[in-house]
Amino acid sequence: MSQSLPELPRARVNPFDPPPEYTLLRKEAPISRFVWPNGVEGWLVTRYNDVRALLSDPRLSINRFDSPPPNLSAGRKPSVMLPKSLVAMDPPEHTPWRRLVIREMTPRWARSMEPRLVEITRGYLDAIREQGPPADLVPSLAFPVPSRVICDLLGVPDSDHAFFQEQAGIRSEVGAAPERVDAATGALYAYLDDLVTEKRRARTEDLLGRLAVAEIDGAPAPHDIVVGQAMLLLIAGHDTTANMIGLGAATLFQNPALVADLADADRGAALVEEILRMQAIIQYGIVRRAVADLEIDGVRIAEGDWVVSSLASANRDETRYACPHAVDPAQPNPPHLTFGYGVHQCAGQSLARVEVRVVLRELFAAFPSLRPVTPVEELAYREDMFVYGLFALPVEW
Amino acid sequence: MRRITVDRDLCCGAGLCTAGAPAVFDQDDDAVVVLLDPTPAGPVWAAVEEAAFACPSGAIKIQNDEVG
Repeated sequence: MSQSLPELPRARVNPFDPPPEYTLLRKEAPISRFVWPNGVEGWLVTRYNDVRALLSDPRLSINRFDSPPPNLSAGRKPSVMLPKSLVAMDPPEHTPWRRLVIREMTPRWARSMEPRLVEITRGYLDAIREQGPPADLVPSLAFPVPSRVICDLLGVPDSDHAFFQEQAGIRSEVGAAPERVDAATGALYAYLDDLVTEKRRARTEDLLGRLAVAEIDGAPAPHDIVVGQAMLLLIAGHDTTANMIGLGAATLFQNPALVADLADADRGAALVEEILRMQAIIQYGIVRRAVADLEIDGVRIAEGDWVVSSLASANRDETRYACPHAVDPAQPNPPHLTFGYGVHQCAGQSLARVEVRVVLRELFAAFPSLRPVTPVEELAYREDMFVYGLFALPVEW
Repeated sequence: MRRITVDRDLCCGAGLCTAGAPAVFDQDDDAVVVLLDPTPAGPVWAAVEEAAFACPSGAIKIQNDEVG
């Protein structure tokens, strides 16, 4: 009976931890039934090993065109249907597309980006200093840096940055009317549509330029899918990184002794891994659909069933982490699942790691006396949004 | 003797292995894994095991050959 099923846990007791129900679920019902607000039922998977196993299981499909997903969000998600992209393709269709995109985003390439990231970050920090305290780090640093980086990556001309940033900003705005978000999504789509056409003509040496003229299995890559991939890179690389920067700064306000770790590349990287583990910002988990019957941990999942893998819960699995609920870069941990797992694991993860580390390091180096205007526990968090994070982070120095 | 194998068809190009054990794994121009050393020296194995575990596509395997 669906009436008796619980919904996905969403209410947090404190902003730095997932909803407390997950602790109980991991212990007593690691794979359980739940119901979405629109009445669709699914499985909720909460343990590290199960989440890892299912996210790399080819019997679970990501293709939301053949099987439209249930409505997950609390109403803020834009209703514009984007064209097919990596996050709607299963292998083998997925493989050549993923390779086209990911060769621009390897760990080596991400490391080579560090000087450019420093330059971009310092530009925004200078502006913050000029404006004087107090400053809200979300619109003045956390959002514009990733936006600028995505523009660089895609090959958006300098003259179009302002437009790009404005439209992307509307998509993440607090309480923006759905029509306004849809209009911004539409404007970005139209912009990228034109840009891909232009790139195909000009044959530029950037990611979008290469995607525009790429061949998939010997045939030219379809235009609308190239535009879809560009939209995905924009959306996936912007909100997520921006919110990790905000949450990272808030985490360091709570753990000031850890700021010193940022000065050292290895310790800084370990600290960022811990911040990422603690804040799996894809807070409602990853939705897949079974395309075959399967059994996991004694639970039978039938073909057609919806499966939600909770990254946030997996990252706090008491059986895998010695110190699951505290930021402890010193503990030897299995790799967190904040970027997902399997062939759909975040393509931009290496860039994101460097980006978060550089921005946090430069921020705290530029303002050694940096502090939040109000205690971070009292700030407003994006509890009802697909990507978790802070709506605002006012600071002074 | 322990031996590393990589499946280049499975590889999804995340490159975590190249970051963790750069003496053993590399990526080609398409970001596909390249195995530099299937039988590295002892001290590297901890990083290789971590890389195999972290690999999101399961492309890295560690085998124990019966005959060394």
